[in-house]
Amino acid sequence: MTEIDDKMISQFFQNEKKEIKDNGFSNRVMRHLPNRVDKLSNMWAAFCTAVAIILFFVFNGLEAILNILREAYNGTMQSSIAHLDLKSLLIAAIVLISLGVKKVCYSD
Amino acid sequence: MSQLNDISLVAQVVVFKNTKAFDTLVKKYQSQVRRFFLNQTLGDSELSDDLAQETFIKAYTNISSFKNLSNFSTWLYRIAYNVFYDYIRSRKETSEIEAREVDAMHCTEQENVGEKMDIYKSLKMLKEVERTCITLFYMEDVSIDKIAGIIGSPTGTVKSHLSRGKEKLAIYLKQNGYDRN
Repeated sequence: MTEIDDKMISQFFQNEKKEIKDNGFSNRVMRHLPNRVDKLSNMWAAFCTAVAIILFFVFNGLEAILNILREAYNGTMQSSIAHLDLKSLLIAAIVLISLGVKKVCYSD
Repeated sequence: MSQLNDISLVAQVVVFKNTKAFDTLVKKYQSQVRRFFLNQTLGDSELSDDLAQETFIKAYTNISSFKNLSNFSTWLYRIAYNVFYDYIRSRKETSEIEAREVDAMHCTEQENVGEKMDIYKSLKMLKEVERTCITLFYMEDVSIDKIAGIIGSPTGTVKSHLSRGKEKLAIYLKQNGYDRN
């Protein structure tokens, strides 16, 4: 392998080196990027969210939620006071205290 | 400067998912990557474009793994090399065709490439890995160290591939009168 051969090969390849015109290739690549699918799903999600927010305010959603929460709270309070079982509460308290004492003793 | 530009474009793609920045990278490197595949497939332009497209899509989906340890073009060539060898392997698995027969098929598919015929005829004399090393070295001006990184082999192995490739090419070119130029 001589230096002349090396030059000859180098020249041969440099002569054959041509720039390839894009001719729509990069557009084709961009069309096939996976991000486009993500973009469409993101746009759809954003649209649905916007519609949901508008409907929430149109139908006074905040007041409806507050009413439901208030009713639920009142209902729970009333039923828990009416059905309060002191015996069960006492047993639960004793069990919890004994468990707590055990935990403290073993950790020491 | 160009390298800094590439890093800035890559950063825009990674952080902001800026597809315009990636489009700029595709436009900048499409010629190099498509030429690389044209040389590997001995002038099959349709197959080259499909493989080049796959390369850019892989580059886009894995762009966060570009750690700036090498040039963007070297990183892209590495993906292109893997895409091409995955393609060769899949062809071998499906049709049990030997590499040389694959080469011969590409050659018959591309009978009308005119003035480019000589280069593809000369590249046909080489094994695939020799062809990769020779075209990267002589046509794309990639250094031996970088070629070693692209094909994942030691520099010594790249040098042997280059040496064997050069010997075959020198014989072919002399037989075809290139030494008289």
